[in-house]
Amino acid sequence: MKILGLSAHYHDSAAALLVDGLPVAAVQEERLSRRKNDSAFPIQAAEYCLDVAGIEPEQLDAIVFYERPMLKFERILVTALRAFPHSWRSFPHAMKNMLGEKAWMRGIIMSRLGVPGSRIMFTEHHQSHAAAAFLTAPTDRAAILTVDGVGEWATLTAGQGERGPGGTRIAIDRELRFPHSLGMLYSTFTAFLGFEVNEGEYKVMGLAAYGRPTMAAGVRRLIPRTADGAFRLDLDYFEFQRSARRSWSDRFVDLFGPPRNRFEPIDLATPDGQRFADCAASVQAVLEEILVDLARDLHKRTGLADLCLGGGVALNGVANARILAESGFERLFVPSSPGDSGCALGAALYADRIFFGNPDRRLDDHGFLGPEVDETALARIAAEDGLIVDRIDDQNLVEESARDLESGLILGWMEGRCEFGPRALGHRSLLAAPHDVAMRDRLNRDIKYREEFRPFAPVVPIEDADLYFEMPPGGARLARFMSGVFPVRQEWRERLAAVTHVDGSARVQTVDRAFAPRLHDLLRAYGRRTGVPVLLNTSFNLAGEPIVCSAEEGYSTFRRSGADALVVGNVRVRKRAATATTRSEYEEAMA
Amino acid sequence: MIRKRGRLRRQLVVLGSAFGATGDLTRGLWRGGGEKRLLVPLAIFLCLTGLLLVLAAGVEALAPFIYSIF
Amino acid sequence: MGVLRNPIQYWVWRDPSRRAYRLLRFAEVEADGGRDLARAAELTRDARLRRLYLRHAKDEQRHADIFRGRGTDLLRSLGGGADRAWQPDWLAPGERGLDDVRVEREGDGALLAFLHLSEREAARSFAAYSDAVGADCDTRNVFQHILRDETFHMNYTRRELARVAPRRQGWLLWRARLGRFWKSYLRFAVALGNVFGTIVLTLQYFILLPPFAWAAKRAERREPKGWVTVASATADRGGQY
Repeated sequence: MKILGLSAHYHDSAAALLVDGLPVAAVQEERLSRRKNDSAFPIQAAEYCLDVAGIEPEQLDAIVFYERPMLKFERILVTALRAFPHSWRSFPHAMKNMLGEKAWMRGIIMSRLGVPGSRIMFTEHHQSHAAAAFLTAPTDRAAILTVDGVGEWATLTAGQGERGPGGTRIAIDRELRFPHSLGMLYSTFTAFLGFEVNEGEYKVMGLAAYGRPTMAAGVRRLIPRTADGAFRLDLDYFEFQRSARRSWSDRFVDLFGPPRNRFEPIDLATPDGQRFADCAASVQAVLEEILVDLARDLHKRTGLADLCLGGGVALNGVANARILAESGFERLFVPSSPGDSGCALGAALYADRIFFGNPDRRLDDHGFLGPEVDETALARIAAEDGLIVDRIDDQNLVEESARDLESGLILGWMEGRCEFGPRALGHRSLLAAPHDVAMRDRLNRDIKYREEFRPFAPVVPIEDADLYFEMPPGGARLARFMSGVFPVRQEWRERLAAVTHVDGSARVQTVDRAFAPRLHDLLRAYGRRTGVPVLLNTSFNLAGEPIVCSAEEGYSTFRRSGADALVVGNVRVRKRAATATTRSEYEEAMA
Repeated sequence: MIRKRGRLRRQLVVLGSAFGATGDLTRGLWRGGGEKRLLVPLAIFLCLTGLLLVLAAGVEALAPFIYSIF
Repeated sequence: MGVLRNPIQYWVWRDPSRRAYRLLRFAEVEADGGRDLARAAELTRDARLRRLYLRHAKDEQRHADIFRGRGTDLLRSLGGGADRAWQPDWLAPGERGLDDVRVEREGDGALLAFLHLSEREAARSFAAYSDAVGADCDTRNVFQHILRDETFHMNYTRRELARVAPRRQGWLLWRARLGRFWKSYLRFAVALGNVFGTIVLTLQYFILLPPFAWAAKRAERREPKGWVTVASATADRGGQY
């Protein structure tokens, strides 16, 4: 059975294809369209998925969209009615947005893919999240918690899943509904702190480490707990339910002071800069408190050892680590793509196992489902441009790359299929030595062009993780997809200065050999040279651009950045001597 | 290989499917009972407005004239 | 139009706060333009063009940094504050960068023609802004520095156009001009359509919604706080509601 899952129209659209219950391809549209967080209909992603399987759209048995557009329309309409007459400005905007396109998903899919409407199905947004979290995890029974901004009505759901020869069951038994949303709370602070919503949440988490939760009591006033252990938002402090202009109210400003102007850099030496850091620390602390409480309650109710966490909030690695440590669950699974893009895969899996009742299949435990990189393309382009191109066998490539990294070079590292999800897990990464703060500053200044308060992540062989980082039981698994933030051991902080955040933590990625053999070998080779098998791993992209996918994109990013070498498969390219050629041609053309 | 269609043709397919989608919404609201049933006439009216919005999105160049239907 | 525009430009650029925000927005547009050029470099099969586009993309990124730096300095000198300066963009649209160009859809010749015209327009605009900033020498220097680059970009795109499409260059330039004109019209039509749409929906809001709003508010008051029990989804077969 061939099932195509789609997510689109809010942020990070994506497509994923299941053939006989197993994912053969999944990719975010942004990786192909090159528009960061592209939310357009994922036509290129769908085309890629079909190409991988060698099938035409007509051969699909089902196309599953990751949420129910008409239920969502109902929520938007009811929200506008409840806020009447204050919603008069947002109503036309919301209606144009919804009725101009998004409500008519069945027609849009029919018109874009040329498939009959009878083959198009819909899952609920949080069902898709739940399926993406549970059905991709190596567990047969687990509690499931999904948390994000909002889907149709639900903003947070809890339940459990079971799979095995007897079939698959995902039972979501309770939920919290819009406007009461942890995701919206965090996004409101993201916007208040001058960052882009659905993109800047990482920045809030990074900034939090520079502040103290001095305003946590204020944040708790925004989100009082209910008698049954849940929470609600005090809507006097918010405007997202009635305004498209801003999501906080004047009372919110009375509590936390004026919002940050997005154009002004955060200067932590100023009182305002410190206030923003304290705001971030406070909302982060309250988010963690609530998530830990909810997870602890779920653990008590289900008595299960495993928890599968989905939804955009599951990208908060600091909160994830606390859930693992404090909720009572022994293992915590967060998929490589817990956000909305992962719902494309979740929706397809949900339809396969639940709607069609197909037998459970064990999925490969990795997120490498995107397009393959073509090393010959890089060799051709780089040779045309007069760069130094080497073809090297695996063993020498690993040894020489370890030597380059030891000598302080920054490497673009591309191999195999690209990652499905927001993290670069070693197939589309920039790698560097993790020892020196100067390396972090160089990466921020010459390559990533980003705020100094954002940390870089370390990657370490799974068998060595515990030596360098304080990993709780189950922590190594959580770190597989870079989903947890753990303390760097005190004695290693100085030697891992480029990847140790100001609070002594790091968003660790653990690698076992089966997951990424060559990266694992590189870490070992680097460890033999330096005594520390840890590298700095950051996504291979420039500010404002999606992570690279093809060799051409890797090359273009390499040429525009301060990276020293680019490795694609077994081809390595260095920059030396290229600049002169380019400059003379440029000047000749300008003459 | 996905066959590419022109924007107008795509929008016509969307328009064609909109009646079924409106029917789904109406059925859903009706089954919801109570206050949700009261929303049915408003939802239908807005969906009809939505058809114009779809048309306006399909033929951007004529967008100002399409609204003159009102 | 130019005669009309200049007094408007003087008025727009006279206020330091407006000036700061416009520069900061220009920074975003330049950075976007740089990304489009990088994409063009990734897609072209012409090695020489690829090198030039990459270089051009780096220039645009540098311009973004320069605009951002100057805008931030200006903002600091004003004591900061929230981003609430009124931006009369419809009066003086300013830098449009590459004007929503769809790099993937254009051949080398068509893209070069388009780039050439865009750079020429940008050079003209920057010259006008340079005159309009009055006594602010630092901002004028920024424009003049960038203006030199824009002139270079204008020249190289023209020369490359002559190289890649020696016979069709005139036609490609005319087509690009028409394309720009058509895009301007579409922007206008969509904006006007949007205004009409907003009026229609706002009227509906105030005329149709009140009784439904009353019922919805009444229902909301009866809703329980906290967890909501979810009914079993066994009968669910994937409908859109």
